Order: sequence, then structure tokens, then C-alpha cells
Amino acid sequence: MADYDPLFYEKLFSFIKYLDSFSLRNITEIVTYLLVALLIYHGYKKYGKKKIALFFLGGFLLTGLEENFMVIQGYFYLFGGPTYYYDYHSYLFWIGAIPIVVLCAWFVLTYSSFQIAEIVVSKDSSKALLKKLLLAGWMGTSIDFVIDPIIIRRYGWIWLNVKEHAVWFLQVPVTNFIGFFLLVVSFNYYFIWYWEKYTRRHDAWSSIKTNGIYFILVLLPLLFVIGIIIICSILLTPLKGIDFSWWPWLN
Amino acid sequence: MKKLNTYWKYLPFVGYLGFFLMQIIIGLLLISGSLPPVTLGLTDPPLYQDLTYIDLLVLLSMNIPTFLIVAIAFKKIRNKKL
Repeated sequence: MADYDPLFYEKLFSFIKYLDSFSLRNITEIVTYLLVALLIYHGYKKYGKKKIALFFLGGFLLTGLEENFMVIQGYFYLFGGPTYYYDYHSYLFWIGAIPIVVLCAWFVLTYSSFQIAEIVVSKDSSKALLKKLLLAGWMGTSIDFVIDPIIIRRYGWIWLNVKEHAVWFLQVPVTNFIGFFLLVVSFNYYFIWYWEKYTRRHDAWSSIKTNGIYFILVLLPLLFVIGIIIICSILLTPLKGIDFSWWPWLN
Repeated sequence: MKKLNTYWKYLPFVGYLGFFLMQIIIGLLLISGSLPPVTLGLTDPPLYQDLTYIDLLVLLSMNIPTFLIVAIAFKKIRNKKL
């Protein structure tokens, strides 16, 4: 059965793990970094440097904490056993157990999805914000339907859950897709809420206070997503062990 | 840089579709057998059924609603002056 890297814990805090050889995956990493740079430039032109910096860094912190939590709690068997991990040999730069490119890819999908949703949904329509959030969430998740079946076959990340402990879709736990959707929706909502409520209205606050509270409260969407995932996992118990996929389960 | 300044409103499409395209290219290379096997450092990796072109087509067809949304957005932004 698949297991964590033998040096998983020893190398957990290394920024660079193994650098065996330069592979195609490293080229895709560099392309992703370039896409991040282009989107940050877009955000700078549209919103200014402060807003795009807060969006990028807030998302970076949120996904960094969430992904590290999911991987490390699985390693220590905190909530029912192993979850997944990223192959230490495959990526260039790391934060804990997560490759930096994964956090950047999340930014690319979250930011570009919301920007496209913003163009499609008219400002005058009722519940415009809700429609934009749901549309962005769907767009981000629908790409995930394609990415996961391809990347797991390249062992970019390895699911370690026992088949009977999860409900599967395309050989990926369903909670992965639910979590991705919720992360996109909740972070976009949190960002808009915070920007409108605090950053604009509290002129008397110093930027350290405004930004500090922003980075602390980013834990709210994180707790929301983890809470919903736990509830979903409990509700889906009768279906555990089922794989909604046309591929046979080989081991 | 001048082009980037003129066409910056299209950058979300570049980001979204660029990332998408990258995954499709990896999928095509994987199916065609052009990628070397990845086994380095993996302890007993899980086995998966090989991906086929039909599989990729089915996965892409799941994204038809998304492609439509992107097409509508592109049409709207093209006519919008920023």
C-alpha cells in the first residue's frame, strides 16, 4: 500500500526537498509562476497594488494552512488516518508539506474564475455577488475534474485514504471537490466582505492593524471549509467505499 | 510590455485557459506514452487504469458549461472599453 516518503517528517521544514532532476513537472511549475505574475499584473492594473497583494497573500496563507493541515493531520493519524501527500521528489520549492506551485495554482484558478464570473454576471442583477461566487466556485472545481485524474496518474500527489473510508469520484475523494468549491467561494466572499467592511471604512486604523486583522480573520473561511468537510464526511458515511468512476479500482 | 498594457483586460482568460491547456497537454503526453514513468521515491504507489483519448474527451465534455461561460465572458469583455 502507498505510504508517505520515508523522510517525510525529517524534510517537512525544508524549503527545497530533493532536487533529483529537472522534469516536465518543473516546466509546468515555471509556467504556473508566470501565469501568477500575469494575473498579479492584472490585479494591479484593475485594483491597485494593495488590494491585489492582500488577495494573493491572504489566499496563499489560507491554502497553505489548509493543505498543510490536511496532509500533516493525516500523517499523525489525528482524524481517522492518512489523507494524501505530495511527492517530495517532484517539485522545486515547498512550504511545509505543500509545494508552493500548488498554492500558486489555487490563486490562478480562484482569481481568474472570479474575474470571468464578474464579467458574466451583470451588476444590476439581483443577488449578483452570490451568483458571481457560485459561478467562480463552479469554474474552479470543473477544472479540477480534469486535473485530478491526470495528475494522480503522474503521482503529483498520492491519495492514501483506504477505499472504504471515503466516497470517490473519478478515483478522487468527493470531499476534495467539495473542499475546492468551498475554498474558492468562501475566500472570495471573505475578501470582498473584509475589503468593503474594514479596509475602506476604517481610515483611522493603521495599515498594520488593518492588514493584521485581515490575516488573522482569514482563519474564518478555513474553519468554515474544514467544518463543512467534516459534516459532509459524516453525511456521506452510507456511501463510503463507492467510486463513481468508469475506471476499475486496481488495488 | 506595451501589448500587455493594451490587452491586460484579457489576462484572466490567459490565466484560466492557459492553466487548463497545460493540463490537457500533460494528459495528451501521458496517453501517447511520451512521458517517462514516475517511480522515484514512491513507496508502493497506487495503480491506475491507463488514461485513453476517450477518457480525456469525456473529461473535457464535463467542462462544456464552463467553456460556454468563458465564451460569453470573452464576448462581453471584447465589446467593453476599460
